[in-house]
Amino acid sequence: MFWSKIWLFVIVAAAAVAITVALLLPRPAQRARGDDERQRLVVACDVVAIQMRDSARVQIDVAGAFARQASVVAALEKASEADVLDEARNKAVKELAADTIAEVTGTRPDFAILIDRRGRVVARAGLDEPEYGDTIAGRWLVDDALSGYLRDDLWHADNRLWRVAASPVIKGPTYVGAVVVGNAITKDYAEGLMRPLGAKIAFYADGQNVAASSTIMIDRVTDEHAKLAASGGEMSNDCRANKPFASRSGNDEFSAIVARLPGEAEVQGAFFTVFIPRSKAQGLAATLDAVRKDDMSFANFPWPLVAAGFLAALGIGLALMILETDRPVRKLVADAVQLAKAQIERLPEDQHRGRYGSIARSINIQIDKLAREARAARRDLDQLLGPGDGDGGGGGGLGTLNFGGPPPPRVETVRQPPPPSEFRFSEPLPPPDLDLSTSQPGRVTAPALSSAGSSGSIPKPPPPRPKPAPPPTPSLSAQLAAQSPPQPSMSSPQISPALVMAAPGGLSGLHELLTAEEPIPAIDSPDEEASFRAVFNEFVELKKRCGEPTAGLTLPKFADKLRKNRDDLMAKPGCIGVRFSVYVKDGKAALKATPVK
Amino acid sequence: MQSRSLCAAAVLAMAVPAAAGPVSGKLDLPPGAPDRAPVRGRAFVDRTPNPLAPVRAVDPLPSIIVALEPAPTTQFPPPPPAAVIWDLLGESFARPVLPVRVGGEVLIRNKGRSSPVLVATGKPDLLVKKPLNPTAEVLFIAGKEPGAVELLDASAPHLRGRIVVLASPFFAVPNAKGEFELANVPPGEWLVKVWYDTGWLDRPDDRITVGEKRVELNLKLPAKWPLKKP
Repeated sequence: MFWSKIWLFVIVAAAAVAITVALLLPRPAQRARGDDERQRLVVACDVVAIQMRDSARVQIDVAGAFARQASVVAALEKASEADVLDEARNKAVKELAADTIAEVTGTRPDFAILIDRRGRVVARAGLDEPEYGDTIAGRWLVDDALSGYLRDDLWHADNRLWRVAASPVIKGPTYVGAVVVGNAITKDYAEGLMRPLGAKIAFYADGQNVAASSTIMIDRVTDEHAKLAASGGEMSNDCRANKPFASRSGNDEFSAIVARLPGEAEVQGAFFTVFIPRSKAQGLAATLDAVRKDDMSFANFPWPLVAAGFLAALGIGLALMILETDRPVRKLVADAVQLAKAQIERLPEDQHRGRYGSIARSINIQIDKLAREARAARRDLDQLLGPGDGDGGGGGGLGTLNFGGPPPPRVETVRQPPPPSEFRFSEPLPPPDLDLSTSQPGRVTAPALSSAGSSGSIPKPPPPRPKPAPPPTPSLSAQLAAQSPPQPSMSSPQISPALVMAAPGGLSGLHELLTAEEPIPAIDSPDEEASFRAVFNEFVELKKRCGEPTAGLTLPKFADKLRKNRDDLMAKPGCIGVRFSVYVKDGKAALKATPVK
Repeated sequence: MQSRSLCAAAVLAMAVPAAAGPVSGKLDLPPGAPDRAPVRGRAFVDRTPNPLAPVRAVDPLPSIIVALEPAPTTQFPPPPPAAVIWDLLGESFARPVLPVRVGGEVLIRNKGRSSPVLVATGKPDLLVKKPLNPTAEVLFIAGKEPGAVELLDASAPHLRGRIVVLASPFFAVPNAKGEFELANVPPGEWLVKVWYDTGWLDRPDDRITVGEKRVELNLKLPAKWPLKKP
């Protein structure tokens, strides 16, 4: 059993490890997917910045080309010299700006603003065209352009984000103004940014969504931007330094990342967010659902290895069961059957190991105990009746009563103790047989004497059955004839321990079975007298059959002897009656008194 | 120019003693313009100087104020403070720095297209926080103690202006040529101080004596435009 338990532990431990691994395996995969998502978002975010930078360069080029138009230079030179910008000038310059925009190849600016050297708007084209004459000097982009720089910026105006670029307008060494061109960040622009990336983007300014590549509005965006702005980190690192966050739009989950937008709009809280659908958590069940048929093919899965492992585990388990359980049990059962058949007297303890050996030892201990009790009972009876004649007297047999004849010479013999498990009720006893009705052919049982009725502490015996007629002599003679000469086995009857074990209640149960043939008559009752008479008759008959003299053997003397023996036996604790029987022993009639407990 | 004229008119309108005399002069700018401020609002591409002409130097004159402070021995009846007009031309004020006397009122007129919400840095109660619509005006007292007050629009980070509240009623702003003039300065000894952008220039103050005759000054400004520590 030890190795079976070890093997069970190993199997259970392996199963636990397998379950743990199965539950853990999706986590690295989920983490890998999360890393992939983050990488996708970071890449998309970086690409947005790159594309917007490229767009800014293009815009600066457009503004520079715009500013180099001779007509633009001339118009702004004249406007700069005028104290007042009139409508006619505005109209002329506006048409000029519109024409210039139309000549731009590629991405045309949505608007153009022509500014004189004082920072006044001479004309607007494409946006707010009626407005002119106001000063937009002061904007960082315009101030830098009037100072001679080309640059770009991001403006937030009219709830829109504008990508703008400016260039100074120069005539010779003199600055005569500046040109600002711009494009709004629109849905088309956002879609163009995300088209190669497979992600979605939304632009925000002043807490409001101003443009997006889709209609999906995800939550937590402004909160994440607030955290980002409060962190004070370098803006150029926003894409790489920030961790994606989980966001929702209705029932849909997204992974998103935010990055601040530069330029003047940054002060107005401009930023963008890139988001992609969030991969669902991959637990064990989801992982199993994701398994494809191809994954289970022999090419992709080590089925032979799994099968070999299974068979090996199963084989080892079965072998251990056979070696440690089945075979010892079968052997113990076989020994027990032999014990029951009295082929062996004790279970071979040494041949059984472990707990089976313990079982065998326990049984043997009980057998020994029963044997000791049997010997004690026999000694008690011997003390009452005196040692039996012949071999039985010195061999532990129950005492016999001799009437008439001289007592046989007592032969002192060396008393050989029986084997520990040997058990004898009396000597002689009928040969052991589970069938009690046929196991004692040579035995004639008289109704036992009982003290029932005379002592309140003794359970009342069951009501007497209709008293059977005394066994007819021919029947006894027939039995004796059948037994003559007596069978050796009958001269030394034994009750097998198996018989004891088979009897309900063990030894006491067997005793009751053996003595339950006739009810025990009450003491000094007519039944008892009748019983004595029957025993006497059987005894006389048996003596005659054995060729023994019966002179001097009278019923009163015989009955007195029985009463005396009855009283002696019943003086023993637990004896509630005495049953007398006659039998042949060594060719002589003998009487046996059996205490009934 | 219009705002400068208004400022000059405001200065000239101050009440002066009968023996007052004019003070005029010119700023002697140091070689080399003030350092250009770091790029503001950098977007996706660094600003690039144009390849056709050198970048224009920073013009310090709009940010300069010339002020006269009386010596301890100079006594004069202080004129009442006068209102000063400050035009908001659009995305910037007419002047980046506006001098105003202690207790003097400032009238901001919005001549632009936008509606900024002007607030005073550090003085949230100075202006009512509401949009200043185009053509609208707002009148307020800039301060009752000398110092600088910065106005800005939170939604337009480029829109900033600085009001310099002066204790002396005699101050002027230079024109495009660096010339300035203060009329009707009471006789006596005066100290000439120059404000640039955010503070007083760290230079030896000129001590002048004003009488009935015109006093001509040639204020030499220090190189690198150092400012006195507050």
